[in-house]
Amino acid sequence: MTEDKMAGTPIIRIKNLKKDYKIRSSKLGQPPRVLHALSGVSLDLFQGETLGVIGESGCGKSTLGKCLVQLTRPTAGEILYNGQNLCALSNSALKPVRKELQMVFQDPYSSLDPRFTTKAAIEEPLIIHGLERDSKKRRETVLAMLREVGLDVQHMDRYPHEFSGGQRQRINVARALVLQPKVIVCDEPVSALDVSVQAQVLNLFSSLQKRHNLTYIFISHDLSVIKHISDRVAIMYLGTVVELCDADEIYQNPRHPYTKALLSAIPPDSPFEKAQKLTLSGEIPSPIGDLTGCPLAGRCPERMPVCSQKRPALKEISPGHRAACFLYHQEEYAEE
Amino acid sequence: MTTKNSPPLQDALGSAEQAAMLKKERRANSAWNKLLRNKTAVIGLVIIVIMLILAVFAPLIATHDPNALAISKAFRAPGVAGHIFGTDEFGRDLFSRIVYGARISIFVAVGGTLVGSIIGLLLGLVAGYQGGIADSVIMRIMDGMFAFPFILLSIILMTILGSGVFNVILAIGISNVPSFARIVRGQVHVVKNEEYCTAARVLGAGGSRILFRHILPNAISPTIVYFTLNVAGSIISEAALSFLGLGIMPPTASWGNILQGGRGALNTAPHIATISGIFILITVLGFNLFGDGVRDVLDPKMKR
Repeated sequence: MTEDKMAGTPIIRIKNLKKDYKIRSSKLGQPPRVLHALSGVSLDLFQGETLGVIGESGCGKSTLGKCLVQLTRPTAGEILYNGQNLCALSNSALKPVRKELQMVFQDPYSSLDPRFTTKAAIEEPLIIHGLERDSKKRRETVLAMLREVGLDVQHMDRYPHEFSGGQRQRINVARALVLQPKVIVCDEPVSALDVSVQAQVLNLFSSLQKRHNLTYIFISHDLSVIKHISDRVAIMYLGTVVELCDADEIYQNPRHPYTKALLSAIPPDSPFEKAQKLTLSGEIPSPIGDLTGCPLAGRCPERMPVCSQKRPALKEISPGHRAACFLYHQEEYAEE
Repeated sequence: MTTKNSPPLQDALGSAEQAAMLKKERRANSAWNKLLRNKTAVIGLVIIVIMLILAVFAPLIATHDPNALAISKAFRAPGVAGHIFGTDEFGRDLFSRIVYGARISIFVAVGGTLVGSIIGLLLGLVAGYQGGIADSVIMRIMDGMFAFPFILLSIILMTILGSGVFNVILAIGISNVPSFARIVRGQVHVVKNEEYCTAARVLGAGGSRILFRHILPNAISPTIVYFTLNVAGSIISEAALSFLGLGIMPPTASWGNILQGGRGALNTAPHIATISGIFILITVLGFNLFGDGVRDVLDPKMKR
């Protein structure tokens, strides 16, 4: 299944995406320092797949999502959607693209306007894009959308505070879906929900994907959620993708030392099972300022001299499996 | 109410009942109904309504022509010869003057607050939403205006503009602009960063849509509260300006200039200053009580 997808042309190509934030210096006259939220991310997204993006907080996964829908303009790099570079488009030129590129936000509470009824919230995108000018038809479209996400007529004229978290997230999904997008960026859509509700919402995502042939970028810090929903997984660390491969493969055969450490953090199924814990010592280095070498170099158990001099590129190490680590790029290492 | 596995028919029935209940509950919880359950707000509202009736139906309520001079009847005590509140220093019927004065005083106060709030609202919206240079420039100018005491600013404006009802409104309005701008800007700052505004941007909404459909309705509550409280302040400002001889010019009656006229005769005819003063006091109290009630309803976090 994944092989077919790999063979197809990607729907979105991210090329060397960078996002820097300038931090005002504390001292007068000091040059502003730079925070590298994304330092060179390259990813391909294929039609109909779910790409899970995982990483600890502060690694840039949300920034990646925001750049994808152009909520923040990246500093450098390209995002090619149907051959168009989104980063080069003006806001008005971006409007038709926004129809096809939607986002579901993390917080179901604050992402709905408290003064908009469900109907008003879901029909707003239709009004913005002038898709359905007849208000009766619009009502029908909204109702159809609500039914699709598991809500019904009686929910139409209610306000957000009258719903539970799971229901609100369903409304959010309906609002994103009503424009019939091709790609939906899900920025931790279930992390604010109860575990029992998480499963329902995740299943909703899966069934909608099948019905509408959607492509998801699913951002999360929850390993089990990612495992459940993703076809491929990208592991992020400090603004870079360190490993990218099929979801099953990454849990069975992690290659990058960071991925190995991350996965060993999953508690074993039984409390009596002795799991081999692989802990990284130290803290994530600060993303502020320039960093030479591999971002993991200071903490990696398999560190080599080259690691602190050069940054490893994300390269294929076996079919469909990419990692950014010198352990697997021997030829490059030998060149040094 | 209904479980997930219940048959669809029952679900539909349940939902109709549910919807009706919800509607009822929502109506009971609407801002207006909450306001009517608030005692202080109702007292304030009653006072305001009485004053408004006085102002609107002044020609019907007044017993005499408010501007008819009769020097021979000057300084009559209340109740004497059909003058309910007595007469003033020119023998004009005080009751009629108070009633007509309500018109001017309330009109000027509401008008002044309206001018101030509209200008302040627009400036605050722009400053809060745009941020950056626009924000700095607008808010620095507002800070500059804040540096002048309110009454001094009004006096300067009145001196420049000259007297007249609309100039008083303008002067009070302009003096009110900075505080409205500040309140609105602060609120816009809070709401602007809410995720639903970000979500609207992803949906393709333009700046004006986000500003007026999402930010404004969510940021307006404190402004409404401040508006009601500010009307009370503006009644006092008008009275103060008229008292200083800069506001409404006689013979047009306003509570401020009636008070000023009564000041000279405080020993011989204390009723002139007392009655006009009481009317100012009661009206200001009414607006303050109402404003407090509005705040309790719209801005529960501010409560005490």
